[in-house]
Amino acid sequence: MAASAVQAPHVYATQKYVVRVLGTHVTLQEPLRIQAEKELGIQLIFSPGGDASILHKASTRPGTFDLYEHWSNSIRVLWQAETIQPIEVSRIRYWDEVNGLSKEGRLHPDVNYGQGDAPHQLLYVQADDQLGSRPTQQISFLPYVHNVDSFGYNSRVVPQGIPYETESWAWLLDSRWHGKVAVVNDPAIGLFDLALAAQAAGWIQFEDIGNMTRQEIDQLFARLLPLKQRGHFRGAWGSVPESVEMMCNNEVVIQSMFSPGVAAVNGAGVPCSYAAPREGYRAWHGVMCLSCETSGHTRDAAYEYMNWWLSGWPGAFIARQGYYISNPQRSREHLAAAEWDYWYAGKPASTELTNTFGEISVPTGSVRSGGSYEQRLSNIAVWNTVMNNYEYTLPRWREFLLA
Amino acid sequence: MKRILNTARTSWSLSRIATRIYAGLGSLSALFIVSIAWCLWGSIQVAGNSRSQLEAHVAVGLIQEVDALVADLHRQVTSFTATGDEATATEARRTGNLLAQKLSDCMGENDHAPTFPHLAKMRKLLASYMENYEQLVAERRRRMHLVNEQLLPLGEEIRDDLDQLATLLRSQSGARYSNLVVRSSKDISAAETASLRYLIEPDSNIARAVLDALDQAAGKLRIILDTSATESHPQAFEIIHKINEFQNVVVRTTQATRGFMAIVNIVMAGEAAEFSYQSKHARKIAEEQLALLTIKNQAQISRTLVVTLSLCATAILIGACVAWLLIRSIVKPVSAITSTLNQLTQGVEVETIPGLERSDDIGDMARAANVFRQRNRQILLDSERLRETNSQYQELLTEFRLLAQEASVANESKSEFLANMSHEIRTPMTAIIGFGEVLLEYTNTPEARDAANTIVRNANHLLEIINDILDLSKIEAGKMTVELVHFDPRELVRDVEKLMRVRADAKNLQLSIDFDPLTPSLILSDPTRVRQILVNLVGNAIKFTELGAVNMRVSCLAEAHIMVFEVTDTGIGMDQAQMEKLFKPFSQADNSTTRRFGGTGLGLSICKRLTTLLGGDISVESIPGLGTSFRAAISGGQTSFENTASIAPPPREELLDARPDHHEGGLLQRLRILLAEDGPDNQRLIGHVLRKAGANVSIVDNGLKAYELAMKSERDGHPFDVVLMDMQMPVMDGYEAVRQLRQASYTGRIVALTAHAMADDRRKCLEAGCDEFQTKPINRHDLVESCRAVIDNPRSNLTSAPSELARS
Repeated sequence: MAASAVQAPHVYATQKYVVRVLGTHVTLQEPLRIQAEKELGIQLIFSPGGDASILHKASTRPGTFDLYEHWSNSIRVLWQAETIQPIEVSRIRYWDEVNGLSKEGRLHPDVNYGQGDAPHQLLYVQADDQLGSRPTQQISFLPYVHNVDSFGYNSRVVPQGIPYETESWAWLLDSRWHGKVAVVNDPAIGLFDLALAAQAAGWIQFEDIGNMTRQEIDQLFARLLPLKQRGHFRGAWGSVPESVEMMCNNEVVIQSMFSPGVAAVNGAGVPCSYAAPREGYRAWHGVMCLSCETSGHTRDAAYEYMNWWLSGWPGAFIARQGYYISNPQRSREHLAAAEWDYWYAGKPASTELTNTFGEISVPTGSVRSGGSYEQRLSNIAVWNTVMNNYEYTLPRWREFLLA
Repeated sequence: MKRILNTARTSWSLSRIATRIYAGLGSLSALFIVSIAWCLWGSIQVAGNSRSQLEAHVAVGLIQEVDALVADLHRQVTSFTATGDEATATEARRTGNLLAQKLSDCMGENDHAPTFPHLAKMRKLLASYMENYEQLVAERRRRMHLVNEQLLPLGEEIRDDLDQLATLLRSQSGARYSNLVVRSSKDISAAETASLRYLIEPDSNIARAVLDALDQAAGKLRIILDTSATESHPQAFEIIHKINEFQNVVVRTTQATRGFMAIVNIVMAGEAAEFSYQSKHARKIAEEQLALLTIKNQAQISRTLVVTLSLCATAILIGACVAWLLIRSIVKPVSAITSTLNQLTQGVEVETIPGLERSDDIGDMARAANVFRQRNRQILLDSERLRETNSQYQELLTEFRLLAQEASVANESKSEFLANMSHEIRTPMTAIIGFGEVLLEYTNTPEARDAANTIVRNANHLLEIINDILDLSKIEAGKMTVELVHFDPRELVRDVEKLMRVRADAKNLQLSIDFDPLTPSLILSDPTRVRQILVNLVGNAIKFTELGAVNMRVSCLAEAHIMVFEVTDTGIGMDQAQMEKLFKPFSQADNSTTRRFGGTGLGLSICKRLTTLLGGDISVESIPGLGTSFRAAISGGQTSFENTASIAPPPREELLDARPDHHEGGLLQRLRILLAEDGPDNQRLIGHVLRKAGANVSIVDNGLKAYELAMKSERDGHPFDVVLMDMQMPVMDGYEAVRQLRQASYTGRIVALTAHAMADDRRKCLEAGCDEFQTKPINRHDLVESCRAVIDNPRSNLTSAPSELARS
């Protein structure tokens, strides 16, 4: 009896709180869920989905999720929709470790800002309830996973380029790859790939590529639509697996790509080079948002999950699929030296490296395209952005898709 | 030895021609079978391909239908997006279901089809598309609800409230505050207008303008709250709250619009684009597959054609080779051997036989031909010898022919000789018998009578032998001719019975005649020969029968016109061996028979030859100790069945027969007879016989005298009743004398007397003009009867019925 009396409070403490997470396959991975549940003693329900559909769900039905994991371009939508609530900086355990890219828009003061919605501009909840770059104690999202994207190409078909020198977004419009080009189906992302390509090809010069005018948009589509109609583009992919399939099937030789897609294509035996375009990368920043309807113990559990993400293990895990975490040093403890050297330091892999599935994805001696974390993140052309003319781009995008 | 080895060789060894031919034909057949099999296989392949082709065709068609449906769906969705028409929404759902169904049809059962992955993606995309479509419908409804139920009423409400507040403030604190309210109301109006503009043309800037306008409206009211009298505060506060709510509705409307637009323009458009891509590819694959199958099918057809033609060509080639090989290795050698054999057959000398060295059938043939050649050589040598022998034979043959000719001449000479001999013998025999009988008349002592009897009996036997030899030699010399006349067989048989009765009676035997009721009254045959046969058979029967009876039976096989004469006795009979020798000349049943029964043994031989001459045959049945039955069958010619037997008068012979021989003395009473006979013995004998019968006899010794005397007595008015004319006389022979007499219209009876017993002689006599014919040595009884016929038949009748006379 005495023993059970002593253990009684523990019984109450082990009550599991359920956190529903809405997001994409990029971060909603089973190993993460299992690890988090194990470490946190909470129950996680992952609902992965396509970008557009989860955004729509998140912006319209806040009651269906507790945490929303997506990209920074979703933030304005969600914030305006008021379906998310501010996150208290004081409850983020490793906030001080979060680096300057997320907090200030660049890693170093001597580096140019990327155009468009850099994360720091959306991060802080201002006094007028608007989002801004001036630091406050409330943030609209937890900055965590981020990366730079470019295009991948099948080096068997498309001649291998030199990072930052010959590799160019203009390649996407090269008529040599007619019919074998794809972009991601999202105007807030794919449109920038196309805009960067058009600008690199000299077709058009944008005043501010992160905030295109209607005229610029019209000009861009005036060039893109005939190209699409002529069959230059294979199409637009809606998810990473789709992009992998397209390239592995040789439906595509060059396309917008995400890092895990590139790894998967290489893992499938198709040599896919992830370009380091001389025009700079299109950068994205992961956001983890708290539903406006989540409160109480669930909110506490949600905060625990957010803190867990910056606790090192998840950052190390996600590094193995090529993503960075906003506080890299904590993850370094969870990475082998070879892994750190390859993924973050831009050094050649001293051993074979495995991906998140434990499969060998990096052969010994290979070097990450674009170099180190600093080098890559210092060459950002534009951030994924929901522009003011976002609505204006939608019908044009549709027109492009169906052309 | 080699031959034996060859035959011992297995019949299926390749060196056999048959095996080679079988091998050649077999390989040809095999090739043809392979060709046919290939053809069939090709056809099956083509059929299979055609089926696949058809399936691919159907698949292409189905995908085209899917494309058409997708176009419909897309139009309906676009239409709904623009109008929000519920009917269109339903229509789009129906199209979606139809499309899903059509896709399932396309996919079918075959998940290995190259189009399958595309179709599977299309199905997945369609499901997602329709799901998103439902969300679109819901989103649009929500947006419309927001606009119609909240946004528009709320704006109106705020303006009304602002109007009331303005009125209130105007009454309380004048124009200053009321103007603020009015301006705030204008801001609201501007926000309303902007939100409507946003609805028409969604734009974040406009949305922000709406919110800004509302902010300004609220800001103006806050000035009132801060500065004005407190009475109006609750109302202003209320309005600010409503403006905040309005802002909220605007944001939600914006969000709904964005969501709505994102679904349509990104998600659904992306899915639609991907769907059409997959569809395009599935179609392309199906079309490529169709084209590929078509090409494959054509290729299969041409391949099958090429291979079949090649096989056929090979078969023809092999056929030609086989033919060439056959010709070279079989036909030519066979032909060579054949021509060699032909040469050998024609007797041409052949030096070498082709193919002798071969080990196959042709070698065998060549060896056989070689044997043939060797034999041929032997035959040539033999035939040379044969030719020599043949010429020898030819010489011999010529010699034989000469001999045969000589023999024939000799035979004729023999016959001539025999004829002469018979005349020469008969003439003295006439005298011997005649005078023997005369001697008997005048002799009374028993010893002398016995001696005279012995002379007469032996002379008669000798005469019998001579007659038989004469007949037989005439038959063998071919001089015996048959003279066919119509006569009554019954009459003839009765004649024979009468003739033979004396002898039968002498042995105390019963002699009887049976006429079959169907015996014809007239047959066509030679009565002289028939009589001769019957006399012979009956004579034999009597001779060999000691006790019992002899029966003559006459019948006719009318259908075949065969007359059958059976003579049956109850005599000693014969065994089989005796019967076999029976008809051979100069043989009796055995030698003892001759001794026991006498006779020449020529009788049955003569009978046999005579029946053959008469178109028939003779047969015998006999049982030793019981009797014998001879059966002579002769051709009866056109027989007649007119029964004359019943109406005919009793035969004359029977009347005559009733007269005893010793009454001969008065038979020729007062008859004047002229006898022309050169032999003095016969003159005396015949003269004696005739005178004894009562006749008045004048005798001359040649034909001329006979002619002259007969004519003289005729002229004198007391002609001779009968002229007996010997045929062979000096000065003028009997033939000539009779001819002249007849030429001189002498009508008296002339009876020929001749020692020539042959039938020719008789015919010659009758042709010369004689009425009757008597052979020498004369039978007294016959002679008297012949002369007496004049009394019964006056002269005028005799000339009109010469055939009747000829019978006797």
